Amino acid sequence: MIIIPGWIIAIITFPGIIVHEAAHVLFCRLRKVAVLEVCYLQFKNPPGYVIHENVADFTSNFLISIGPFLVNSFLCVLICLPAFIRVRTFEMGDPLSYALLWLGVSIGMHAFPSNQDASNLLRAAGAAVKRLNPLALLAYPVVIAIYLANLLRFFWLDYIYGVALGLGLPELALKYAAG
Amino acid sequence: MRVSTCQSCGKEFPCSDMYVVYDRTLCEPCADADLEARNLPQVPPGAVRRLGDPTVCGHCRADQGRQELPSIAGVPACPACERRLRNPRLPGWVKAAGLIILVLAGVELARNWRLFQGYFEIPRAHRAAKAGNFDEAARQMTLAAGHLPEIPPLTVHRWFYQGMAQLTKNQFDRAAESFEKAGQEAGKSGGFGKDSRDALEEWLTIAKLRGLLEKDRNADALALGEEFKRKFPSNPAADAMINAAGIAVAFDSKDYVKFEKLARERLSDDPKDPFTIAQLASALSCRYVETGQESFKAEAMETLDKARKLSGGNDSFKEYEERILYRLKTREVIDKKEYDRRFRPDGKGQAK
Repeated sequence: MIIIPGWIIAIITFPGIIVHEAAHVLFCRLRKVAVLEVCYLQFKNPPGYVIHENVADFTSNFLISIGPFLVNSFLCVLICLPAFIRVRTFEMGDPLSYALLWLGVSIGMHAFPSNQDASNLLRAAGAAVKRLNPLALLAYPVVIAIYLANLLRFFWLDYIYGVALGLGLPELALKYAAG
Repeated sequence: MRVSTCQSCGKEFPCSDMYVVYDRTLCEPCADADLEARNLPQVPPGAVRRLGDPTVCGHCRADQGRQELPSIAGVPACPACERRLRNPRLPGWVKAAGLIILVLAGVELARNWRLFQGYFEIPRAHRAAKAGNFDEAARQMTLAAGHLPEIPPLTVHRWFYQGMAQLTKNQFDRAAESFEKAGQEAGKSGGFGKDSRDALEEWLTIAKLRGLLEKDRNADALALGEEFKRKFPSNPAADAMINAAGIAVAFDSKDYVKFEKLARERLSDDPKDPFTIAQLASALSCRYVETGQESFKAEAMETLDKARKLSGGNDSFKEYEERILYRLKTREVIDKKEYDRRFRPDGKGQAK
C-alpha cells in the first residue's frame, strides 16, 4: 500500500478541493444559510473548509453536507465524458483530453463529504428525529456510508471512485447506448 | 450604540469594542494587560469573550443607534451584511476557472463529436449486416468511415458491406468492384489477417462468378470456381461455387442427369433454402421434359410445393416458379432470357 501525504494529494487534485468547497457554498446560498468563512484551498489539513451558521432545518443540513457529493460527481462525469472517448475508446489522447480527464477525476475524488460533514448531518438528523421527521432516518445510512468512505480513503477509495465515475461510467453508458 | 465603563481604567468605551475577562468588563488594552498579568499557559475556553453590542453590526461595524440587530452565529448583523452572508458569492477566480473548464469541456465535446457519431454508427452497421440489411450496414459504415478516417479497417468494412448490398441486389459487377476495393484497403491498412483477406477474396470470386453466370458465361464461371478451389481447397465456399457453375453448365449442355445430381448435392448442403429446393424442382422438370416420365413431374411438383411454403411469397421465387411450371406444363425447356423475351416484354408480364 502506497501512503502519500495528504498535502501532496491536495496539490495533485486541488481542483476537486475547490469544487468541493464551492459546492458547500452553493448549497448554503440555495438554502439561505449564512456563510461566515470560506477557505477554498490550503496545503494543510483540512485542505479547504466552509464555516456557516448552525442550521436547525434538517433539509438544509442534509443538502449542505451532501452537496459536494452531488456537484463533484456530476462535474466529474460532465468533464470526463467528452475526453474519455478520445483517450480510452479510440486511444487518440492528446494534452487537452488528458488534462480534462485529470480535472474530472480530481473533482470526482473529492466528492465524498468529510467526516465533519457527516457529524453535522448526524447532529441535524438526531434533532430531526426528535421532531418526528421521517426523512431524517434516511440520513443515518448516509452518515455511515460517509464515515466508511472516509475510512476507506486509506485504501484509495476516493481515487477509485473518481476513476470509476470519470472513466468507468462513461464506458458503461456508451456501451449501453450503443447496444 | 451602547457604551460601558471599563472596570479597570474606569473609562467609557463602545460595548462592541469591549471584552468580558474572567467576568470583568474591560476595554481592549486593559483586557490584554489583565491576561498578561495572569501569565496563563493557555486561556481556558469561555474565560474571555467579546462583550458585543446588539446595536452595532459585528461585520461592517455600522451603528444602528438604539435598534438591536438580529445575530448570526452570535454576531449582530445589519440587513446588508445578513443579505451578503446568506447569499455568498463564489470568488471571481473560482467562477473564471469554472467557466474555462466548462468551455474546454465544450470544445472537447465539439471536436470529439465525430468520434461519438462513429462509435454509434459502427455497431449500427454490424447489427444491420447481421439482420441482412446490407444497404443500411453500408450506409452506416460509410458514415463511420467518414467520421473516423484514422481507422482504416472501417473503410474495408464499408466496401465489404457495400459489396454485400450490391450482391443481394444482383449487381454482381459492382459488387465485385466493391469487394476488390475492400481487398485493396485491407492490404493497405495491414490490420487484417490472412483469414480476413481470404474471406474478401472468396466474396470477390462469388460476385465475379455470379456475374459470369448472369451473362451466361457458365463455362468461365466453372473455370473460376475451379481456380478458387485450387487456391483454397479447404474452403467450403469453393464447392458451392463449382456446384452453382456446374449446374449452369449442365443446363446449357442439356445434361439434365448431371443437373439433377448437382442440384441434389447442393440441396444436401442447404436443405432449407427455397431457391435450392426449387432448383431441384427445376432439374426434375427438365428430366420430365427429356423423358416424359410422370414420376419426375410428380416429384417436381411436390418439391416445388415445399419450396413455395418456405419462400414466404418472395417475388424472385415467384418468377422462378413460374418458369418451372411453364416447363412442366408445356414440356419445353427454355432459359430465362428466352422466357422473358416471350412473356415479359415489359419486364412485368405473366406467362400465358
